[in-house]
Amino acid sequence: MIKKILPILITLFLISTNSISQDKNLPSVKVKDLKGKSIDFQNIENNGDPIVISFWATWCKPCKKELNTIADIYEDWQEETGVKLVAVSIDDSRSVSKVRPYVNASGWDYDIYIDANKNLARAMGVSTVPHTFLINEDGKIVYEHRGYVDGDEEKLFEQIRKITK
Amino acid sequence: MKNVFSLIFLVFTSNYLVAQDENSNLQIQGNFETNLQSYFIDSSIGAIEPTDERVLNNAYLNLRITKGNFTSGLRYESYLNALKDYDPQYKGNGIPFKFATFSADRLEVTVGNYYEQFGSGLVLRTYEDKGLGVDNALDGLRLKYSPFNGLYLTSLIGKSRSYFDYSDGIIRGADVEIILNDIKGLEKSKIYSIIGASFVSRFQSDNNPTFVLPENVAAFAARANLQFGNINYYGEYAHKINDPVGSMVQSENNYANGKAIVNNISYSQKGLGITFESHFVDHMEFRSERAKKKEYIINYIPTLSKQHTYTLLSLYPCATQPEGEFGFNSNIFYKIPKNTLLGGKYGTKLNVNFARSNSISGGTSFLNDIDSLTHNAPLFKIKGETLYFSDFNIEINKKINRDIKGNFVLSKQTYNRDVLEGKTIGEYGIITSTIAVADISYKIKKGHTIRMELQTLRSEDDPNAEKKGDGDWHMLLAEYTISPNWFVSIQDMYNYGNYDEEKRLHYLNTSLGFLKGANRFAIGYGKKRAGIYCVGGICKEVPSSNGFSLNVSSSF
Amino acid sequence: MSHQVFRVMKKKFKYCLFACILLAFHSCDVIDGNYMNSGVTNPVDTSNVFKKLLIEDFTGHRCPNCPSAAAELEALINLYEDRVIGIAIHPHSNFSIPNPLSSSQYTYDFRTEDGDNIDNIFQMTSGGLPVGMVNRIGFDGNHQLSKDEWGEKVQAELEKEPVFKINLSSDFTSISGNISVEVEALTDLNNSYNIVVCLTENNIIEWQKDNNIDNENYNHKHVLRKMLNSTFGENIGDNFNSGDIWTKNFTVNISELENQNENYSLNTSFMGNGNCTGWIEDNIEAIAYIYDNSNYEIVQAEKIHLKNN
Repeated sequence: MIKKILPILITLFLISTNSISQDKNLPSVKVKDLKGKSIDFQNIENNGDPIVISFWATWCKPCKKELNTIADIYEDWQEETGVKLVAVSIDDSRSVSKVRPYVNASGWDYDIYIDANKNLARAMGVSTVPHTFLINEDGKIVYEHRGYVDGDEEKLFEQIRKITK
Repeated sequence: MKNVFSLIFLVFTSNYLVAQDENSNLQIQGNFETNLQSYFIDSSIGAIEPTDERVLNNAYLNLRITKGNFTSGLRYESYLNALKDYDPQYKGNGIPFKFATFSADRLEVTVGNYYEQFGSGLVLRTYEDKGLGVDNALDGLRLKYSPFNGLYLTSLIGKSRSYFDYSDGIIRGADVEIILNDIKGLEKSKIYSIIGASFVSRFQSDNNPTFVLPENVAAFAARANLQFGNINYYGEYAHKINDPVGSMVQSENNYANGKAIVNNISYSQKGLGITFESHFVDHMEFRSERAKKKEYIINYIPTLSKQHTYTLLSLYPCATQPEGEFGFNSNIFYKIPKNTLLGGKYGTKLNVNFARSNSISGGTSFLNDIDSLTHNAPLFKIKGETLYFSDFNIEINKKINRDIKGNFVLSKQTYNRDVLEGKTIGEYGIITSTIAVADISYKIKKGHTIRMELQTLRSEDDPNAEKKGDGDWHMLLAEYTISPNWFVSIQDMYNYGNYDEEKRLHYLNTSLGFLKGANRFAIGYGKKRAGIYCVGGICKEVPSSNGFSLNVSSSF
Repeated sequence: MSHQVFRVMKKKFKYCLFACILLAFHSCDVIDGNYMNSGVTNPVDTSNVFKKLLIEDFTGHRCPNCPSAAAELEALINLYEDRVIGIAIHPHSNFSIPNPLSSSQYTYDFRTEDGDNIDNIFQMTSGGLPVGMVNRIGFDGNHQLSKDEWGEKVQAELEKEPVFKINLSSDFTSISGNISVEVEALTDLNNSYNIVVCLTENNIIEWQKDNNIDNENYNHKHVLRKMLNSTFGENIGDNFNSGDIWTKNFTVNISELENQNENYSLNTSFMGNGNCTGWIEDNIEAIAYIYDNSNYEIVQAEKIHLKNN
């Protein structure tokens, strides 16, 4: 009994005795870019403009649907809001070799990162893909959405507009 | 008791850090998921074992606390009792994952549980996959140090997780990775190169009265990633030194060395991508204990076949045979430009894929006092070898008009059921399947979409085999979604072509779900088909089931 | 970047590399040839009581990997002689369901009510076969052991001091007879213990799936037939002083026991066909084992041939 309740008690204790900001920040976890170079994800920035982070994989149909749909209107989004889309792939060594060829063949202009052992996904609470986050100028997560169906990109863009100066 | 102490440690350290630095805030994040399933007795699909508990449940909660350079976290898991497709050794509840990490000045220290991958995982990959029930996290200490830009060192020690316990063997590892272009003198090179080497060794004491067993078993690997313009090459060579299982029987103890070689090359430019991947594996499964049990496997040699998500395309999935396999996979991604004859108004995306795996020439290397079959098996040989799996498929993705999008797949697969499912040679032989999938979505009005999948599988049994396979299948799925929150779907898998008339069953399933922000709720009802999988010499059956399911997941 | 700084960095690099190589040489054992050890010396002084252990091998006649577990058990029995006793249990699973009598292969029903009762408690089949237990140590959660783990557990178990002495004797010559069991406590004990007495049959020649082949004439050894005093036995006491004795006689009537198994096969087992009789008296052995009631751990075992001639 104690074992089960303890984590919850600890959390409540921590919340009550500390000043915590409920907004989530980007975690300091290393991911690799398409060249294989490690970067600290906390350093992702866009000069104060919004950032969309989308977790995907080459085998995930709704993920590819979302990113391909946005790809068609990405230029317009960028012109209007300056938003940058960062696509983090959770492909492991089975399919990671296909990421760069797939991205180039599809003609995406996003920043692509590889999180092969799901370290970043775990740190951001991502269990299924697609999982999309919207980051504001302070680096805080202000919106997130799981799954993708046709029309979700419009809801996302509404949110981006809201935080654009 | 250990768990209580670690929690208290978390509390005190986080409080201490708050007092030190007023500027950075303490952050608490986490996520939660629970899966509930009920099981009814349904003799038509073979679900005859009664489930005494009526309802089975898997749940987990992740907590993560960050403050400045310090991060700490834990995961609570409960299996009361575990779902039937999970290994029943997941029993009870507790906190099997907890860690504390701090980083300072190019050094990162982690104590507790952690996941780590060296290179592509040929000698070490500890990871978790809740869908498969895999979690072999290491429990111990890990140091990551980067003395200067371009050089990355990792060293670790620990025991791997086995359900709610840890392995007997102690794993020690070290990895070096160097970005050559960051080294003075090579920055201007046109080739972007990253090289690396890793070393892992397992210690387990020798209590075997009959055989002399090595107590320290080592595996090492060397890798290189080279990029030149649009071409990318990745190669890794892994070698394992004498790793007998510790049996009392002469013929079971194999002292031969193991090896694995990976060679991947790809070319990509705007609108076109070409890949070729291959691997050669010979006796290269590496575990945190000698005994051949799947929960001790700490390396990762994935199958190179395409990861299909459509049901009938993954009815007969390929699995790497770590004792001996040669496999390769090749892809062409091409986007037929807009406003051309074949491309149509919006362009068409094409993916042609071919994968194949077969046995290695001469069989697995073997060495003990009586037999010796150590050889340098030719690295690339297909002709004359036993086919394990092949898959040739074409996928076409096309936006037909403003409201209709379609994805079409045609595939021909051959599947050596005897080898891949651990059955007797000659029992089922090689099953050939021809599969067609049409996945069409239609936008009814803004935010309302209906999507239909039609799949069909034509199966051809092996004429020389004893038994017949399952025969032909149809599958139909209809999904209605209302952006951004709702989805409802119904699907039916129909084994209309089974030779046994009593087995021509419908596996009907429905589900309804609600998504908002980070929360997801889904309920479902229906039948699931039985499956079988064999790993590490033991075959396990996942039973068919009929019942309700509930899935709730959230993050905060 | 200054030349000096670069030199320092090169030095650090070299140290790191050196450390890694050092690590590499330390943790790698290479065994060259002669893989066999000196083996085990078994005690010859029969006047002393020594500890005997029980290995239960969970198996099935259509399980392709199971013969290697049976081979492991035989290797252990050959090495430790009568200090290791084995029982092969065929619980209900897809690997043990017999074919209908009209078929020509795999028609024998090796399943027993006692075997299924044991599987229910210890959940052996749900993790896949083959799997076994050594003296049922590690319950609950660490008791399922793969065949490669049996060997090292045996060494550790046999080093423990025996706490009971079991004497078995049989007057059975044919059809029916008596087995008498005498248990003596070797030291003061404060726990509750149960004793199980059962019959197993050796050398049953029947079909078995062995890796790549269907073997028509496989020799099934140590097959569990029947518990003479219920699956989990009976209590022999909660408290013992050194020298305490417990005795009991068991009547053995072969055809009665065969009928009970046949009944279970026809009326309870899934797709049972009653084909579990035809016991050969010469091949039957009686096994008795004592276990701790609190954790199922077996502390002593003993075995004799049923026919005493």
